[in-house]
Amino acid sequence: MAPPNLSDGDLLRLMKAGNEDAFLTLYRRRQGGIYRFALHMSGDPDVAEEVTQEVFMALIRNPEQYEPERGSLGAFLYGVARNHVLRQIERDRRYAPLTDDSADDGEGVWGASFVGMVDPLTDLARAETIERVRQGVLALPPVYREVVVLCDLQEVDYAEAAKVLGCPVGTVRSRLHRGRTLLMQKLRGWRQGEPNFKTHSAVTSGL
Amino acid sequence: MNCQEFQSIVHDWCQPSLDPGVRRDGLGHAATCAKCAILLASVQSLAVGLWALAEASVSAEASPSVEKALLQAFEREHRRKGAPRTPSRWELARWTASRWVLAVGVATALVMVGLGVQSWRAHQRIVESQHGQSRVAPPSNSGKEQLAAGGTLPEQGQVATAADQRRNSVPRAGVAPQKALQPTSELATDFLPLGGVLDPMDFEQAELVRVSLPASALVDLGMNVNEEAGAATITAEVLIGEDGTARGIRFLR
Repeated sequence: MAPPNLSDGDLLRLMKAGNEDAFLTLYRRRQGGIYRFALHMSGDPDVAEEVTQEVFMALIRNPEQYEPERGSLGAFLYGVARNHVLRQIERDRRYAPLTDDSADDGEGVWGASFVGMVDPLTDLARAETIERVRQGVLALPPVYREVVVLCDLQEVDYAEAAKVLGCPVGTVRSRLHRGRTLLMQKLRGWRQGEPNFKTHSAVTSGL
Repeated sequence: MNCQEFQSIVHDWCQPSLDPGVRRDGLGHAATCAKCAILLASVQSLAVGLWALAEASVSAEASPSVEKALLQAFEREHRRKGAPRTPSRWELARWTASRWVLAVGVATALVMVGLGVQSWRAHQRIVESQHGQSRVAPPSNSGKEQLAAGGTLPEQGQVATAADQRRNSVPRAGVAPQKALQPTSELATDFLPLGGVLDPMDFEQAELVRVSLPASALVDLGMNVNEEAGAATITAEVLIGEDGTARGIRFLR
């Protein structure tokens, strides 16, 4: 194995020269994030594996595709993964898109819809919460899903996400807000459908 | 802080980068506004749900088979890059053209060499036909004298070479000329006359016949042969004249 403290750029350079250990180190460092991104986007472990393999195959075949001046290697890999996932989603049409009649203008319109709303997740058991959030994320339109997955699940910062998605940071923010709003609506809908629906309005300081 | 301002910052509520003063103001507003308080609770609940999902999947990763397949692909790719690259169509066409030019050149050279060899052979035939009269070496009595004196064949320096023999042979129909011409490494004596003196004219119409005879037969030719050598076999060529009589003999070794 190549020294794990080497940067992505160093590992990539060694990898280009045919150093298999460098590739292995780079793969093990980055594959988890790529796999989880594809998993959250597709909801299918097989697709996630396929996408992960395709991403690193692209790196093997044509490492020159990555241009350091355009962003980090991580952002590049997420970008390649995103392209593969979106193609896969387009093929499968497995998601159930939420109605989204509003423009991509972010937070301007969503606040009013929460008047009188209750907390949708309070009484859910943890496992159920996770499953419902997972389903809610998968139900988002891809344009919002990808930003929620990147920023909220993969903890990619806005600037990095903007490079992955090829859009301004402001667009990332507005899409993220919109995606979260849609997600909360979805979760609220599930919660309200339950027989033991309980109102929750407790907002404590420090939350 | 009013509701609009609160709504503009609530989505960054879980971001550590949110200014503490703004956060404090937001909390103050939520404490006085039920709508914004619910909104804040929803955002926080969602953040908790997303965090739980992220935590639940933090160990999810591709199976080892993906890593194995990628390592094989990596090895293949770099082996392929190390191998000679496939020439382009243009390079292939240029290479083919150069091969044709080379082939034509070689063929031309071979034809010219062949013509040269043929011409040289024709010239050699003419020269040989011009020297036909001196094909057979003139007779000499020295060999007989030597045999008579010592009973042995002449030494190498005194005998005709195989090349001489070929030149001196008489290739005529009815005789196995190969027998006279074949030897390439044999040594031959000069012809010894049988029953008289050899006339150079005898060689014009003569035929050569190769024979094997016991060494003791040399006694009949007036040569001295010791008893030990008498049982040995000697190869000789007999010069047969046009009338069928033996005119001369020479010995081969």
